[in-house]
Amino acid sequence: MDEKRIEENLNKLKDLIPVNYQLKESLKKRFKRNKWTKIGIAITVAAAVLLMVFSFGIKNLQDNLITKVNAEELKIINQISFISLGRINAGKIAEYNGTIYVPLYDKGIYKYDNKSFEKIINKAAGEVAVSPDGKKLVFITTESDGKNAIYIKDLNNGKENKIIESNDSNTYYSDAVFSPDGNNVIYTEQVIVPRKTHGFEVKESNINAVDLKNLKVTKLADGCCGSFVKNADAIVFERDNKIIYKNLKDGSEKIIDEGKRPSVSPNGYYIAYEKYELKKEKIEDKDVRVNVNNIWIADTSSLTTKKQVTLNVPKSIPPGIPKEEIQNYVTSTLYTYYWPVWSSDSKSVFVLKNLNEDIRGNTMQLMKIELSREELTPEEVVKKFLQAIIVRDEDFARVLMKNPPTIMTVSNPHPVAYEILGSGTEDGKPYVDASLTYGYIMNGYCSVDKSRYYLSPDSNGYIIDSIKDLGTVEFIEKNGTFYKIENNVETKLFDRREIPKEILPDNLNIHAATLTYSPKTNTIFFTMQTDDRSQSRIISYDISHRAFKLIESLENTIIPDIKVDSSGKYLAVLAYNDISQQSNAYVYNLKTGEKVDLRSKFENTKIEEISPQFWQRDKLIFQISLKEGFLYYLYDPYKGQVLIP
Amino acid sequence: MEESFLEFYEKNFDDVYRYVYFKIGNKWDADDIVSEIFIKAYEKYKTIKSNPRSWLFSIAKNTITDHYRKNKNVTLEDDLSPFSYPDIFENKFETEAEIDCLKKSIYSLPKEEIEIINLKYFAGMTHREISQIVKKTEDAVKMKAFRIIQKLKNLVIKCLEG
Repeated sequence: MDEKRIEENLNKLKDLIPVNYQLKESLKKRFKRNKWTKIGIAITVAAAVLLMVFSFGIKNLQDNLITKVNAEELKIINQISFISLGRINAGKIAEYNGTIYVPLYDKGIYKYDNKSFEKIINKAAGEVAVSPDGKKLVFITTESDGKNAIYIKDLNNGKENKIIESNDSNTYYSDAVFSPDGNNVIYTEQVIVPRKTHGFEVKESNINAVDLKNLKVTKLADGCCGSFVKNADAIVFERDNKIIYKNLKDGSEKIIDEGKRPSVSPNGYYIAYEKYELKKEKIEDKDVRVNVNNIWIADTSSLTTKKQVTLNVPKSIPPGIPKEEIQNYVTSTLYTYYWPVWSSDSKSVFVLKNLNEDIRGNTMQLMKIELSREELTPEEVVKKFLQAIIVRDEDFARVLMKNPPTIMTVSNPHPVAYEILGSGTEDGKPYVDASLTYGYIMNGYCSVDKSRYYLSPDSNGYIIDSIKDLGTVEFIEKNGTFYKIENNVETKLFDRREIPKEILPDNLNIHAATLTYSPKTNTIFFTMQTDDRSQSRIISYDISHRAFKLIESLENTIIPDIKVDSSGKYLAVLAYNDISQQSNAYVYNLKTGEKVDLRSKFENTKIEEISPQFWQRDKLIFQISLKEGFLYYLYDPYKGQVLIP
Repeated sequence: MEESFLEFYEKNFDDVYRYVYFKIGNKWDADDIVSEIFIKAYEKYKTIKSNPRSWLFSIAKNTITDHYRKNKNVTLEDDLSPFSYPDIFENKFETEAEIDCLKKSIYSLPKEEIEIINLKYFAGMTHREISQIVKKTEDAVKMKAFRIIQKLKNLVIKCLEG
């Protein structure tokens, strides 16, 4: 240990202080536009560090193509995102057929798919868009001489071609997207010049299109953030906080709504956009004004119907504001939703989501909102609800409830799996019975709560009216003895001396480390570890048959967490090798004993940490941590496949 | 001033943000304060003749003091210490013991010393820039910084030995 080492570690610590890059970008834009207002200062859009988060779609519902219906008739069938630590800062993403392209500003552009998270473009970029055939990307970068440029990358041969370059560093480009036929790129060109005294002025903001065959540029409108509309000679764009539809044949314009950053779906039917409304709300019995931000969708054809697709809630009021100032106080919403982008199949909208609260280390997420004409059935509503509870997506859980409680989730013990037990009607009212399993990392505790969810019809299908508790079963290990607790009655299951000697490690000093339970097979799974960490065993105990079984024996490994799937067929294990200091995630087939190492499923991806998160019924959601940040993946043990959620 | 404000902003935002976040300890206030700092800087930028970075960090320091004054009803600079420097580092799943000890050691330092650590290592400032903010000579800052590192080293060793 010397001074140099301390300095090195201080630099490491520096990297652990999260910077709010979203704030950086939004402030920068304001400086560029020079549009400061008092309100703007108070409600500065916040966000810190991004983590990538995705929704978990139901395949059978995805098959139900969105045919042309009014925007307001579309149902939100899923809208799930995670809250977790993360360090990725992303710009505007693009998606094609399940592959997501993520710009990480100065780090370059990455491809996120089922095999890797891999850098494919080295140039710094804050936005990317993909061509309608998925073969090309368009992105904007700043050259070393300070000039700004638009590039096209051919994904087949890897070539990057500059199609537009500014004459000087005062000309900025943004919002580049392909036309539906792929022959043009529409983009915003802004000339921003310094003023004589101080500040900057946006001299011009043009929406241009460049023909990719001859690189001829045509100006289409004044404003920003334009998109072409498929099967119509028209564009949709933003000007002065209004979403405008412009007919390119006769030049006529029609205002669709107040909003920002419109994005037209690839099929040309819908426009997704950000909307900010100043509303009066009552928070903690105080009347305050809230700048409410949500994502909306509107039709391109009739331009008449609109639908809000996110549900935002106001932030609480920070302490220390004098009473007399409350009436002038403007707060923002708990989340900021921005940069909506359509999936290539026009069935989902991707949205960046920031948590505007002080939750350390993380707040940015990528959320996928799935839309459909079909309504959710009561069972699907309950599934979505439990899934939202598990991933702690309170806002979506609230959407599914009639009278959501103030506090909904807890941190430890935390829910790790759910199972639908049955459904029916009671006095004509539909209900669904389900269990929710809670786990406690590094602790011999597990509980299963059974509940009945009563539902009533709602615009999205069904909504949860009330929840009735049907009882809880707990499993706990105390000093080497395992108990089951039901209706406050504690029953001893077994103690450590009853475990067959051949199963246990040779070393006498052992302790139990973690515990989980499968309601389906009435089996508990637990780990025993020697105190010197040299030996670990994963063991199952079939309660009905009073039978022990050794699942795995690992050396120099700590097992902080095990999770069984809802069928009781697969066990996910987080294992830390004490020597290599490496985390591994394994999935065991409990019938055949086959073991899958999830690390081995990745190519060209340097994984720092890997950990199973929870079972989405029979699929495991797990997280990998890279230098760039945290990502979620899904593992299907039946097919042996890794997918992106 | 040859550098445009946007260039200046781009170059300094991360350092200012880290400096403020480390001192304040929550994102909510850090966001507001950092916004306020850059708005002030934006308004006055053209009038600055030299050392824009020291000037910016002086604004940062004053804005933080104003923030505490407004919100905590405290007036004396010395009274600020109980409110500042909460542990703000992102937790990795398993923090290295050494880093962990370093964190603890930093928080055990007097607040002027933490300030120097913050300015030098988290905000990436030079000794000269720091000297202008803390109103000391460059050599004094250099010596002070070196002593703090020695002190931290001893604290970390002690911490690692348990």
